[in-house]
Amino acid sequence: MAAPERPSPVTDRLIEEHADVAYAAAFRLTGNAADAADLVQEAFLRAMAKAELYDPAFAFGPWLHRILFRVYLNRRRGAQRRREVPLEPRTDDDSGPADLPEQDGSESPEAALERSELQRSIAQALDSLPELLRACVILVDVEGRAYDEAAGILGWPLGSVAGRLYRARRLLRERLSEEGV
Amino acid sequence: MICKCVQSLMELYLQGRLAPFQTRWMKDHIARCPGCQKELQVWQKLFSGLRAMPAPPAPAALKTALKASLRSRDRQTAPEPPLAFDFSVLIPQPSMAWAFGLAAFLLSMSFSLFGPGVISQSCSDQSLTVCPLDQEKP
Repeated sequence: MAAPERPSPVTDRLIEEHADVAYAAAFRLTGNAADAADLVQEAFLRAMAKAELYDPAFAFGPWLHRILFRVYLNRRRGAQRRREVPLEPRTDDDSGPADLPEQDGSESPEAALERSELQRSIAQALDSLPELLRACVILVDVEGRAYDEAAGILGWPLGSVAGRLYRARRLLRERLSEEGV
Repeated sequence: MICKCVQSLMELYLQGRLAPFQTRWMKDHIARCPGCQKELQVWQKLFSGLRAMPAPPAPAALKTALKASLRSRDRQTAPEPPLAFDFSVLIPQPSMAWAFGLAAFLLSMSFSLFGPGVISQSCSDQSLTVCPLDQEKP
């Protein structure tokens, strides 16, 4: 059996390059920092354990993404969800779904407030979705991936992705109506 | 009724996934329907809000922990030192198993074809055996 690769500058470089994207997806999926970090760590460990299956002709990022989503779906299957959903914008330095990107100077305070409220409503609505539907929305509507790419990551047929996405968007729309958007 | 139909297609309209004639029909209806215009705005807000969802960067501690856990995993799965004697030569290889199997098959076939075989339990064709029917013949 071939000896596993020692963590090398290459491994460190992969962590530096892909940890942020993986963590962002994990945070949106899990809804809290601790679970997101745990998910990213497990995805990286699995990726390194299965390094012999990796085809260097393809990018490492999508492969890691696929592992991350599979780990998430397998872990959540049959398990009770435990999510920490912040209802108010956080005041400490811990990042969260209600945090906003940097404001530019051209936006008025009213517009910024409205956008903040909308972001919070959307984050809450996204949190309330079932795991499978949320995974679809995050891949397609949040990360902007194509349907077939999302199907490849999730390991589902294209029709399943389209159908779940349709249901997820309807649910999001209903939640926003309940919030008065 | 038309508004309900239009609103059910709203997300596909915004995603550009409708046929050209459907898109024209939707555009014409939305232009003269305030209710559907409002619905369109809500869907636009939803999609733009989803696309603009903030993504927190990975904490520096996570990257450090990742590198450390990969190193500890590497230590745990380090290869064992080689033995003084290589026992793997004693383990039959699959090709050898096939060769032995073929040899055994040929040996058994050769017994069947050329060997003495087993003593028959049925009616023998040797001359020592006398068939009772032949004895009763006049």
